[in-house]
Amino acid sequence: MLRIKKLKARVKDGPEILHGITLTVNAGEIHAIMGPNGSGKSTLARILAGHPDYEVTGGDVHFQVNGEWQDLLGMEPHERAKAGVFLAFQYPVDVAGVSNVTFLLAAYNAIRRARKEPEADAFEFRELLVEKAALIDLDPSYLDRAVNLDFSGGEKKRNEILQMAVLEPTLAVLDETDSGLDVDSLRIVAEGVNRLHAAHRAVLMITHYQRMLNYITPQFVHIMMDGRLVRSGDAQLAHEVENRGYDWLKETA
Amino acid sequence: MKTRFVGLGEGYAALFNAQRGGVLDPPWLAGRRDDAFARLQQSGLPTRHVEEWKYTDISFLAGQTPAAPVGDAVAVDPARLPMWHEDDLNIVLVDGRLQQELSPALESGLLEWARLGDLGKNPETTPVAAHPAALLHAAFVHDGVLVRIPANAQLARRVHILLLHASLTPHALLAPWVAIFAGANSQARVVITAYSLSDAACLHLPRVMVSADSESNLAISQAQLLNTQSWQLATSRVELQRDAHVAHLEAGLGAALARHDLTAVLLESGARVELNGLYALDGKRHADFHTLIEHRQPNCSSRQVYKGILAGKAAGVFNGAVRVFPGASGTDGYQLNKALLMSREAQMFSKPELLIDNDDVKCSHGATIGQINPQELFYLQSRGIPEAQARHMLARGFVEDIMFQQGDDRLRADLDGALDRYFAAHE
Repeated sequence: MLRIKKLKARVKDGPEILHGITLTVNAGEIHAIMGPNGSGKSTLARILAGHPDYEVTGGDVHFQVNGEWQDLLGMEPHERAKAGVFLAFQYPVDVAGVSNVTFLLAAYNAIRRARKEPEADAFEFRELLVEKAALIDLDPSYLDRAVNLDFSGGEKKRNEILQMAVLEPTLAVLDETDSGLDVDSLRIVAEGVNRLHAAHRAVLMITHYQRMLNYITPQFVHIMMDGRLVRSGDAQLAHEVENRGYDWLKETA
Repeated sequence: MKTRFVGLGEGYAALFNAQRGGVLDPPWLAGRRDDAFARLQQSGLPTRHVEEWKYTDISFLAGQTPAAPVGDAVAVDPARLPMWHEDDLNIVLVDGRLQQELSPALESGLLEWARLGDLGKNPETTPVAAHPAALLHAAFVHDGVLVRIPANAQLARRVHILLLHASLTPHALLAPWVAIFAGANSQARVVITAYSLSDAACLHLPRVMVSADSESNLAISQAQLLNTQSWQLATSRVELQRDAHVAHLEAGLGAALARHDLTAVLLESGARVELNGLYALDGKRHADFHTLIEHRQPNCSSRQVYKGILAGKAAGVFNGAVRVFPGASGTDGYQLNKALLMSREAQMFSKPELLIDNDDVKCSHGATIGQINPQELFYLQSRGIPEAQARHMLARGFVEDIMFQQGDDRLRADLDGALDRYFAAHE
């Protein structure tokens, strides 16, 4: 579903951060990328979504849409979303003056249009939203509030999961969605991810800690250090990192 | 030597003379009109070398040939207007003239009203200001309506005064006059909409006078939805008596050039006024908002927030003056002006003026000029929303709080419709 080959990238006009990442994610799989701060994990997540602050300097990324491989890097951010990519932001953005429901209806209908499905009207969409919000324990009053404005850290992350649940992407990229969450929020967020997960979908989790992996079990764990994937393994690797830290990998890298 | 004023072209004298001695001309009005025109001929129209007109050039109007709105006009069917609501108290003026048959509110018994020409004396107590827009209006006013909200009345229905531009005559000069007198302890919601049915350019010179008697509570909204060929020079004056409250909102969404001089006078203690504005400009359009709030007595408050969206090569001007008189202790004044520039060539000129003659006051002002936040834009795009739509949602969000100021869902929906048309023109 996702093929990343020798991807190199940098912050615009800045030094190179990713020095050649190669990773394949197949439908139905859950991958976790772990690594110390500053290793380039979030850069990778943002580049997959088309963040304008970054620039790809080498390699390529292909994404499978309805069985066809497409050049992901050639797509605009909104086209990537329509193709099925969803980035749960590490720091969800506040948007004053735009309500959650207005925002999500516009997104939902943009994606429905791209999938050639009928658009939802505001009334039926609200019903859907209220239902999805209940699943992640988000009070319906949050639907009419400005996007993420004055939301707590945990509420923002849950709002990301709400968006994911509504937009039903085929590839969910979670950028440190677990950071800053209390135990209850962590469980709710993880349940949201598990609910979405299906044979035709894949999840790429960027995480700093192993604790998220107590709730979501990845088949593959990759360790990123200094812009490179230095080791890949199964869920056991995450436990090892939890016990031993990252330094031992530095020597083997 | 810089030219500070240019003389009015002969077209103005020709039109003035042709309109003299009309049927709606009581002596006070004729005298006021002659006086205003004489002053106007003496002063001419300002160029940008006059400080008050530094950012807005109206001198080109002096060379035009204004016309009476006679001859062909678009047929007016109010029920088909986008902002028409059958159960409002509707009053319609077409090309500056009151249309009684289109104004069921006048027969409702809920309002007292008078046609300007039927009044025995001038409803305004202040003389015509030495201001080109005020003088032009006074010299060319044809007709108008005075609405009186009886003391203690609580009007459940909105009063909607429509100033329609229907004339197909190019450069038609329209000078409607609207006076609203709210009796003591009354409560009402009044919307004044200037709207073009015609595609021809007109020179629109409306004057709005609002008098809020003690303890009255008014929501006054002025929506300017003229076609984008037209020019508007508007003057408004709002006077508040003891403990009166006026929430004023203006929306400038039309016209090629629009200038509004809005003065609010807090005449007695305890009066509160809010002036809120939103505007959206594109192309080479220009809008200039000049507000003046006079705090004359103690313990009055004023709050003004203006927000504009500027695209293309458009230019916006906000000049907000707050004047605190020597006796006006306990004054609370707040002013904020924000502009969102949607293009590199759009411009905003912002000038706050605090003139304070009292030590015991709380006055603050702020101004920001910004652009669409790229992080917000990316966030919306990353959810599947195309860039143009995302930019429009963010720009709409920028004025969201102003849209809610009047607590008037109907007005908000109508303004949203106008904003949608504005954004649609950029896709």
